[in-house]
Amino acid sequence: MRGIRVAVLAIVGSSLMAGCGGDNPTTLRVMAASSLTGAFAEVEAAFELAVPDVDVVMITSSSSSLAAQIVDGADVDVFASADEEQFERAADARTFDPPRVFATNSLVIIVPPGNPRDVRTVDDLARDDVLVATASEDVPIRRYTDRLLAMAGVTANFVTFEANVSGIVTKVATGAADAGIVYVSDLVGADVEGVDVPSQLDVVARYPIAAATNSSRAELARRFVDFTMSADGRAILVANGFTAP
Amino acid sequence: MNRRHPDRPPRAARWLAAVTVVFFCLPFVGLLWKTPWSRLLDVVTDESGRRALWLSMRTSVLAALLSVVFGVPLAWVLATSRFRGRNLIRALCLISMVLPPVVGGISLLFSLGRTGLIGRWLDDWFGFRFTFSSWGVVVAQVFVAMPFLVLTVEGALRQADTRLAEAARTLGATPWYAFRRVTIPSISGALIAGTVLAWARAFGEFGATITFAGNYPGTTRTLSIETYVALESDPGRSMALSVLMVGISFVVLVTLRDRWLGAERSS
Amino acid sequence: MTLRVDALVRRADFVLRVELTVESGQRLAIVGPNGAGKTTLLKCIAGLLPVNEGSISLDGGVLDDADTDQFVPPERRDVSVVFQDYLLFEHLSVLENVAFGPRARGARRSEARERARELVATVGLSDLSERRARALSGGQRQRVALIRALATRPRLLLLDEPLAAIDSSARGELRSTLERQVEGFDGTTLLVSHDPADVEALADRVIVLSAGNVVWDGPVSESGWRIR
Repeated sequence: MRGIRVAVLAIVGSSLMAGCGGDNPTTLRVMAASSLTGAFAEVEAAFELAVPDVDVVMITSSSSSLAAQIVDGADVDVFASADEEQFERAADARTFDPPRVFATNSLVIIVPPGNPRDVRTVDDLARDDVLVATASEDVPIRRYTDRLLAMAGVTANFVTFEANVSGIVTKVATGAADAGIVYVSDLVGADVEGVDVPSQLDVVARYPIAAATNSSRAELARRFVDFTMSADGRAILVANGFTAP
Repeated sequence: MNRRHPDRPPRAARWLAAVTVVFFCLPFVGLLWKTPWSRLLDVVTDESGRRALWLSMRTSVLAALLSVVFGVPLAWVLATSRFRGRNLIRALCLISMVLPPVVGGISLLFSLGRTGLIGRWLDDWFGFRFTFSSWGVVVAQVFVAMPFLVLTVEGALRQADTRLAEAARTLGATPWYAFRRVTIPSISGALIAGTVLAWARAFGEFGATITFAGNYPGTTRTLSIETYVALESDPGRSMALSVLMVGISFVVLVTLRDRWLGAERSS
Repeated sequence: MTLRVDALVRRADFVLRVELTVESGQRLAIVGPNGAGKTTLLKCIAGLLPVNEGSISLDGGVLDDADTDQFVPPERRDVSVVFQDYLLFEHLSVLENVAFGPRARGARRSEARERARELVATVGLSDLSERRARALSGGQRQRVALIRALATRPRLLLLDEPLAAIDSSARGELRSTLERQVEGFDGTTLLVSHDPADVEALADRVIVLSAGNVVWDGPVSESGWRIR
């Protein structure tokens, strides 16, 4: 019994100690839209290399989910959203620097490898035999999708409203759904084929980014924002399928 | 040692138990405190809420029943057979309890999805799809919930007195008749507990459902998915839905009687 | 109802080797020290344990034959057992327990219950017909176990220490009940018991088993000191 007590104290003690002590890197909390996952992983690595003593903690999820968390009081230093609407929602609850659009993304229709239902145009998405996956309302990709479909005058055959873009990609990549609309950047590394959207229907997704102002890490946060907008940052974004304005 | 209650656990144990009870109650207290009560009526009367509730109820009950139909024979085989690889088989059948539900959903997608191993055959020959259908919801729920029943029932069968079934055999009962009329009644407590547990898991299931069956109102948007979706756009609604789910689950679990969980005590 | 056993059964601690013929209507007692193989022998005859070598047959019909790999499962043998612990079905009533055998063999519910009622009356438990088995006293359980075994009209009745769990004061009366039932039973009876009084009352012939072998075989009147 005594041995167990000593062991428990040792474990509790050492975990408490792990938190204190000097030489700790500053933690920078970055929330980014899920479509930025791949690109921002590289940005994170490059930033940590360029700036000493910083540990970037990357939180990716649908922008609507992130905005909800920020409204709920989540601690954040940088927010990169997939649309301006979700950013404004977050900005209502927390003060940010004025947002800057650091990347844009176009939409693309994705189909499973081999395009089993032979989807070639936006009109094909209305066919009964084509099962289309999209996201729930509030997720930015859905708004962009709705806008595109409205412009084309098409009512798509939606069979599911996924929680985020990766859900759409999974459904299409596994062949469960016959088509979906996602960002061009999502084509990178995904097991899907892309079908171009005609340029007159092109809906451009605009990604705003900004640092939260009243935080001890505001300076570091601004450096991160500047980095994403620098030549290095833009190169990474372009390599991942985005367009950097 | 207490003179009047010599059976009572020692004080330290009771204190720890009290702390644990508080741990479990706290989230619900928090939920009930913050929930806007006016919304509670809304969520059960608006169409979206009612559809999700009805879907969750019918799929989870069906999933529980299927878990019994398929899980009890499996438990019987696992408890009584002695073949090589039995431990491996058991582990495979129970693994979905430990896996993140989303992983379960993805696995189902690759096997029963439209391009999956079996799924493509179902689609080609019968035009039948699990994905995006309520049946997909049931399958996802059975996949995550059945192991709870199998584990409970197998444990009880191992402890059950096999001599009773032997006695039944000597009286003329076939093994199946003996199992049905003698063995099952002798483990009725564990069977009920296992079924309720499986139902509860099915009712609360989210990750595997949304990954395998999708998210479509009325067809695949269960109450848990509805709650999650509401969280981002309308937190008040989400809280009201949470209270609803907690309430339903609580009512079911509270009917689980002591005497069903413990061994029968002869008078 | 002639039982023929010529078999070998390997167990953990001993090898049971028995060659035995029990004529129709005979009442045989099997006695011997603990671990001699008495229960094993009963289990083999009941079909709860297969023999390793040899065979068991009843009225010429094979129940178990290791050489030709024939085995009749217990539910298809006309052999009933009164177990040492009675093994009543606790969740069923007295009547349902007794009716269990006939029902399992395909009788209609009403028929089975009728037969059960008759038997329950013969042991004076009619008042307790609907009582759950778990609520019965030791002596009542013993009687129910007995008539439950008789309900299927077996050709062979096996009694494994039928009165061992009974208080010595109550034993006498129950033994008389047992004796009456066994006398009224027209099949063959095998009894395992440590109690000489049981053997006297319920058997005409005795075999003594020791370490898996039959060491003595003869009428009850001559058995004397051998029955401990």
